[in-house]
Amino acid sequence: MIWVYMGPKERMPELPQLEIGLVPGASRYVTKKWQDCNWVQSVEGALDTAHFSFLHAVLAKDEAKARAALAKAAIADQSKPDDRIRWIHNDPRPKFTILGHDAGLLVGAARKTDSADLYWRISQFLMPNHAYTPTAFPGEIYYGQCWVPVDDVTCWIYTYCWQPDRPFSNAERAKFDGGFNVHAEVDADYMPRRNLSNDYLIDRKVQKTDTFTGIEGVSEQDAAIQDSMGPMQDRTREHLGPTDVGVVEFRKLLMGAARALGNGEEPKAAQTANRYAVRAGGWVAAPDKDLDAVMTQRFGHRRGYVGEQYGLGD
Amino acid sequence: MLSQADNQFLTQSGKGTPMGELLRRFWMPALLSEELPERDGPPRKIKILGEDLLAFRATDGKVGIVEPPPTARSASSSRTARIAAPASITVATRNAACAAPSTAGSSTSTATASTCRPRLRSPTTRTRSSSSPTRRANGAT
Repeated sequence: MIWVYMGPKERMPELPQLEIGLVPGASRYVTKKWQDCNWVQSVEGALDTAHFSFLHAVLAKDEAKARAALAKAAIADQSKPDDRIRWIHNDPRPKFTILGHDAGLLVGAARKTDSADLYWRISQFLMPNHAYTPTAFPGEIYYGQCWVPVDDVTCWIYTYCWQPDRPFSNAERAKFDGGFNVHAEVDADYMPRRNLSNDYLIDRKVQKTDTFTGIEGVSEQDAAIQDSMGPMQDRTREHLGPTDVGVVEFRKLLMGAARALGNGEEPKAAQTANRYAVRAGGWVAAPDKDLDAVMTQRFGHRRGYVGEQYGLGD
Repeated sequence: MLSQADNQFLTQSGKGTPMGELLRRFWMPALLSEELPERDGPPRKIKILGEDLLAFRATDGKVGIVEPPPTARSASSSRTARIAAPASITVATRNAACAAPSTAGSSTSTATASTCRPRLRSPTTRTRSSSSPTRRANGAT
């Protein structure tokens, strides 16, 4: 990746210590895709993790069809139904908890399971434009996205993943290139093959029977719903609910930081590069555990910080 | 629900807007390394936060990103190229004169900056349409 800093020279921060830049080169993979809408509504889609119960739902009862539909799933790396997919499907009203930290926000969403335990799906938002997906159990692949506005009605999305424990295989790289999880299937110019101009190649028959959208690919399903809000979402007409609390906190953080900057206060996150070394993911925990405790169980740190593994300090 | 004014505040990223200025306090992904594969290869037009920029890979393999002059090249706006390291993660500042190398695992910026000239051009808005926005945005034909 090539990064650019476009602000005042004297304010140039260190590069954020995202874990994708800390693991060996063979353990990360980056793709990009074009998107036909304002970047903010796309970020908000990533932080509203309740949408997995709907947008990415697989309806097919037939096992072979369900497997095919899940082959590009964002639920996990497996290509077959498992407990997590059932829990997501069965509980479309997760309870959200949002916790702040120096580099951004933790967005935790707890769903019911088959027992009293809760299934937590926890995202990270990292200032000002990164979000990590909420799925990875220990040993699974971590995914993130970074939204870069081209202008106010289009953006590039850098879609990346990493595996702290091992290098990716060539088969995995080929899978990402073909569209998997946040990675879209794109042409030589990074335009998604299923995009706004061709109605995402929606298949209405598949939509009736097999998947919620009839659109192939999790990345493409996200794009379709985000683009459908228009080039720039009109938020004067929205009706937010309890599962939108992550979106609300994201707006408060971003708009507050922009207002503060207007008053001469530099954004703190830009000065805390090391605090970007965090992970996001999933966990099953006893119902009395709050998000602090769940994060500590899952990642060994209340905010998912793993920087000490890379010599970045506690 | 946001007011119309707040909605604009949140979503506008051009230079001089509050959110645009906030975004400009952080490093932004500009390109994949594979988009500048060759030393001395053709530069690529890119657009970020409403600003038209030019990215290139120099003879020594380092990457730079410069702001093209607003009109045709003129003596007063000639570009100087300085440079970022050919690492798997590369960073470059807008004025190629402020460029920083980084490698995976040690992404500490070591930029040595020089002049970051103010720009006079107003941000352009691309019309939203269909066929192949990437090409136009990217100059990648």
